[in-house]
Amino acid sequence: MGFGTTPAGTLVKEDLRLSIRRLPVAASTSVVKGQVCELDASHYLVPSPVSRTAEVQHFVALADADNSSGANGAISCPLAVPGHYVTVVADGTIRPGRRVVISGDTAGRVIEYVAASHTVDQIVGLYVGKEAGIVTKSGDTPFLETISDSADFPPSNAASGDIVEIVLAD
Amino acid sequence: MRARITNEKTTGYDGRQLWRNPADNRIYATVGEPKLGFKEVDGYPIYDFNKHFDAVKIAKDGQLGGNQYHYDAFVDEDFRKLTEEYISDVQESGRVRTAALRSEKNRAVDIVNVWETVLGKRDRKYAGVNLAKNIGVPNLLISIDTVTKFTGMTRLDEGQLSQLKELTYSRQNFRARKYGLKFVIHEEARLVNVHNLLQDSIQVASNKIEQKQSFDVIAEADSLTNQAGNAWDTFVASTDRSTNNPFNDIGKAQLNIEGTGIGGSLTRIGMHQLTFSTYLTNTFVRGVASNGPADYSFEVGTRDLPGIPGIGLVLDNSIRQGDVLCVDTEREPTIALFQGPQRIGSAHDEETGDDKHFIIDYHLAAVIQSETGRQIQSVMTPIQW
Repeated sequence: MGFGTTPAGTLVKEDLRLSIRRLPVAASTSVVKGQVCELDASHYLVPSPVSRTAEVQHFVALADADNSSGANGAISCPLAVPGHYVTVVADGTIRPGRRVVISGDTAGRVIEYVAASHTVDQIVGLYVGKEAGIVTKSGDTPFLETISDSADFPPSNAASGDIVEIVLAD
Repeated sequence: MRARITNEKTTGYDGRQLWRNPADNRIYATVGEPKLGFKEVDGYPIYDFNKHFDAVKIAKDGQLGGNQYHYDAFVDEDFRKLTEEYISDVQESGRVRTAALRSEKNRAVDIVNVWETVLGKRDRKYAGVNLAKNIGVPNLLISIDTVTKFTGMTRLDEGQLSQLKELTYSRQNFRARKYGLKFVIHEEARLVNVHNLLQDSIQVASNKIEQKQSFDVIAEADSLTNQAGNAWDTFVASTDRSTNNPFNDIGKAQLNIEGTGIGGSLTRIGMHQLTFSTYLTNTFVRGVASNGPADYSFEVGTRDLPGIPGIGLVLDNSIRQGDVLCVDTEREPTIALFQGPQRIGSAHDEETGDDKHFIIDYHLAAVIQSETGRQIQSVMTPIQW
């Protein structure tokens, strides 16, 4: 096996003041670990939709919770809460230091906040960076094997599909 | 095996009596009581207690891994074969652990068996550190002093005073950097895992220090003075001989490293395995009429460089293909790896039951004598691997 990056839906910094929560999952809904979630109108957990609900508290699923054939609240899901440093999946380019909102294409994923396209009350959190200490081999000449280090390397843009660390803000 | 041993007769073995000889601390099988000696009762040794206690000590010290201690104490051939069979049949093929009993409809009591060996923990050797001189620093700071030599002698005429010259010292200051790796083991993860999660985590984490140091040394070597190389992987048209001679490139680097005013010593050469492959298959190295295979290994590590006795070869995946890193690691070390303190520790959260473990390492790779290092570049066209 090669080196494994930290999967989405992992708390990457401990904060003893913050406890995770466990909330009931909506009927006919499957929540995947690492998805950004929120409560629907009936207060059951769903992956945050591509329509970007404004003024809602976001969570990040820390485990899979498949309630596809269950009723409202048949199962529950452990969640990271605002304040946690947690990994999620990017759905487009995110530049360092930028805030993130829910993707317009894939529920539960995040993209970079753009003032012209999004509203401030849709913001989910702040992009911190990608995991460091990863050994990769370039596919281009001279096919060099390198290691990433957050201390020596400038913060890099996240690309679609990357697992990124965010501070969950709201 | 820890039972009290006396000189009294014990239970029989294959129709014989068992006695301990206090002279050599071995158990002997005899036909009777050895009143005057073991020869008169046809005694032969079966078990050696000195080796037994050595084996116990090895096991207590945690130096498991070899299999010598398993059966060394069994002097008797029959006993020895039994233990050897046990080792080959049971231990070396890996024990199977029964993880749990599972009960499902129409599957009354399936036993879940898990092979004890966990795959995927291993990693490659990181040999890049061998291009640097390892210098231990008890704290974080170290200074390296360098002297600039004065120039040479001059002829003096009668009554002429000689010109005054003096040495000039300069100092470089280095400070080791801090690197860390922390991993968490949740209580639940520990409780449901059939494997030893802590042991596995430590094994995975243990080579990360060497990994980072190796990459750091190679990154420093990448800043050495460049020397344009000639292609080792091309052949003269319509012939079987190589276009360029690798010894000329390495020789030029050695002349510069050991040359006038410097006096270093080219002791190690680092390159990618595929660069080494082109070196070995160059006809100036292997000979034009060679019809046998080159003695080659892609294994990462350090060995002698074939063709140039006395120079060590360091092969590492992370050296750029086509680059040949020529360094001194002894007399005038080119690159130093300052190794500061290392420590490991853990923190237990009483409430959640989680254990956090961390490894802290202080080190710094730095070029401390740039005059004794050369980077020969572009000796081959990189190959995708």
